[in-house]
Amino acid sequence: MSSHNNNSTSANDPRQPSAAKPYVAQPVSPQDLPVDYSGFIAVIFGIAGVMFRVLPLPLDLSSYKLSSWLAIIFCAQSLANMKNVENDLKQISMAMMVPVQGFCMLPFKVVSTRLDQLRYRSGEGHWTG
Amino acid sequence: MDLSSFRLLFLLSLLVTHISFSHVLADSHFEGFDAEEDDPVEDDILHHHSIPSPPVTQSDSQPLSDLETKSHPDPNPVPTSDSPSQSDLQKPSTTSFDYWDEDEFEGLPIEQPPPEPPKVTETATPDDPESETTSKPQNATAPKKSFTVEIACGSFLIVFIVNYFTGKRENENLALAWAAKFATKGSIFEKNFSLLGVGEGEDSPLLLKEGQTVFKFYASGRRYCQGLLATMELKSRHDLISRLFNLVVPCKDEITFEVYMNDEAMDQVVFAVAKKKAAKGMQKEVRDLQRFAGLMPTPSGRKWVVDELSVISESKEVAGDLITETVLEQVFGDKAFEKYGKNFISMHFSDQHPGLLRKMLLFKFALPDANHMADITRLVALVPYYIDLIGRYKLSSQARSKTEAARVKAAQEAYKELQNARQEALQRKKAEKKKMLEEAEAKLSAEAARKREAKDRARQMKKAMPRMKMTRAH
Repeated sequence: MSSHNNNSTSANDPRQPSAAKPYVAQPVSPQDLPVDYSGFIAVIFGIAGVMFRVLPLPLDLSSYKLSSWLAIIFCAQSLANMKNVENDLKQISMAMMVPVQGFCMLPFKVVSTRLDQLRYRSGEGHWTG
Repeated sequence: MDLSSFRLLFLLSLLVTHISFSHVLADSHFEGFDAEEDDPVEDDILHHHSIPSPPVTQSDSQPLSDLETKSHPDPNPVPTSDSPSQSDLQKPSTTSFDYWDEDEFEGLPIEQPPPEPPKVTETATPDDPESETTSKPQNATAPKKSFTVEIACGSFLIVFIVNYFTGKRENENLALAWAAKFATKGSIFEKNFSLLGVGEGEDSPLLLKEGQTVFKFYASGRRYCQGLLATMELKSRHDLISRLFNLVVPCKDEITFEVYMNDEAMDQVVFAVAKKKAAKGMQKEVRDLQRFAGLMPTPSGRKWVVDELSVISESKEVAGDLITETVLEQVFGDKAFEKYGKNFISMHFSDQHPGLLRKMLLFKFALPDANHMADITRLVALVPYYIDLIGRYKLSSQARSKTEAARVKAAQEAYKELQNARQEALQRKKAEKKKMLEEAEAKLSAEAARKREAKDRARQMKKAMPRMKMTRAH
């Protein structure tokens, strides 16, 4: 542009106020944004937490909780790393619902497993109460 | 990024399993410890239950005593008086209440921890129904269950949140320290650019924050260039998980300067300097370097950059002209590099950058911590120095014709590629159109057949009608 006009006059001062252009943020397409891995992991753990509770798997109770807790921790991570508040908040809040649901379903699972255990024990005669 | 998350996940799971194991150990100790004294109490409790079952004495030989004891550590046997009132049906609901309870009180685990570790039922859950039933009433007052997961995860979450705020502050301080050193009054950028900051006007903000780790600084209004954008990519200090991961795989705070050169101010130059290993990677991966330039051998009989660095250039002439005495003396020479160059990562000048602005100078440095910002002063001074050097630089006619030929060839190839892509797209479009037409035709023909059928039916009806009429007329 006008960069060569006053080279000689401003040999010592390289500044050229006339050539200054204000900053224009370069638009970023949504495809170029980094993938939100922590959000993805959070959803997986959340679903796992719900599944472990609903399905009669021979797993320890604490592992049911564990995966819901991990889901919440990864949710927090993705919350901490989000860049676009409006867009990401929606997704993350959705992801957050899954582990919360996992926690809410805990009582039902416990009831059913405990009932089963009770029946089994009393049937076998190991019941001493 | 994903690798980091998975590794962390693995670490976390290890931690959790470790904790649970230690609890199991504690459990067994406790069982052995007071298995005997608790028996009478257990008896007492169990008698209240209406479930018909053999007496406790029978179970003495069995490992059942283990299981019973688990319920005993509960210090208050008082609520046992409640147990007779409970029917079998109510029991499960109380259990659920007990579990629900534990979630409810996750916030105040400080009071509970002492009684609970021995009661951890991690291993015992499937085979201690009576401990559950007997302890149910007790649980109503003092929940008997493992809080390990809650405590571990809850405290991690709290630390995470605290770290979020402290880490955020740290990153901001680092970025501000940089801006204070290089972009305030009387500093290097203020002397070189007439417009500083991302906004317009006199007191526009110097830095633009994107997310928690990226800070941008913009400057414009200088000869030879349209503008300069410095992007600081800092460590994810605000994110505890990344932070832990960075303990294993360390990374650096980086600052990248992009200088957008004026079209007429930059000759055909493709040139890069980087650490030896990185240079090899750059030569293979960065497109313009791969196409136009090659690794330069160290020229004999001349002072050159330190051995740690290697130069990638389109021609010897360019490399020789851009590595000047001044630069060698200031930064890249044997003596200076040790002192001033340790934060240097790479620089890359090219008139063939992909994207809208093709003529660009890229500088990449590591950022020192906030108190040692002065360490990169000489590196930052390279930026205006090279803007002027490149702005004034003109290739010799011989080199120029060579580079011209290479560029024409590249342009032709690009054009061919574009043509091919366009043709392919055209063909695909054609095929799609054809398919659509065929589909429409098929649809049309189906419709026509249906119409014909309807017509036929109508005709047949018509044929039948008169007869009916005739019969009716009779």
